[in-house]
Amino acid sequence: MADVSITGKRGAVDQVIGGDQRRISALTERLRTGKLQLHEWETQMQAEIKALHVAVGTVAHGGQPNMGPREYGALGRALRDEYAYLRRFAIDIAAGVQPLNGILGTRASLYVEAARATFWRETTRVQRAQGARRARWVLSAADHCTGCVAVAALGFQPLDSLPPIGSQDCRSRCRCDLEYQQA
Amino acid sequence: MTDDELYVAALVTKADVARAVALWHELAPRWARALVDGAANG
Repeated sequence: MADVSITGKRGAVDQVIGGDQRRISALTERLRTGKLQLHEWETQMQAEIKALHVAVGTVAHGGQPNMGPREYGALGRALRDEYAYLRRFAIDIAAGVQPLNGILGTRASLYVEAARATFWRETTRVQRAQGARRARWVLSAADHCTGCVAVAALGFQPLDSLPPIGSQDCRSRCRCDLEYQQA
Repeated sequence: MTDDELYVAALVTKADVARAVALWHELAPRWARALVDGAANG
């Protein structure tokens, strides 16, 4: 059995997210240039988003052998929310509220970045099952928002009271980590 | 898409799992075997 730290998994997840950004960017460029219809783009975005979130969720749980209906069910619930956001995005495009400009790609990339929050949510679920009761917010080396700074300043907090990664001002762009502590 | 349709679309099937595994092998092959195929330390 491989023994990979959360930090190691996080690095691997970043690598997959980076690669998927390029796929989403190419997909969205095809929409922008008229090579894809909006409904085709939305369907393909759904597939990309689902594969990515299942991929990072699987790693958070330690691999496929640890995945079952409960784990996939939790990912499905999160995906439903992502699909609802994507639906609104598509409606904005159809209505012209979201023009087919550079912002389109930036907004599309947020769906990929959101997978990082899925990784941390599932990691927290695993850590709780393994006895962790507290966690602290660890600021990323990169820029971070004032919300992240404030949460990090709290130090170790009960798991249930610590806000999830992706909940602060930087939203799905958040690069901060969590560090867990047993009771 | 209605709420019910969103729910159904978001269900994770075996085909979705296969796509997720393929994504790892394509984008992070060095990690795929340790993190996805086998059980890594949770």
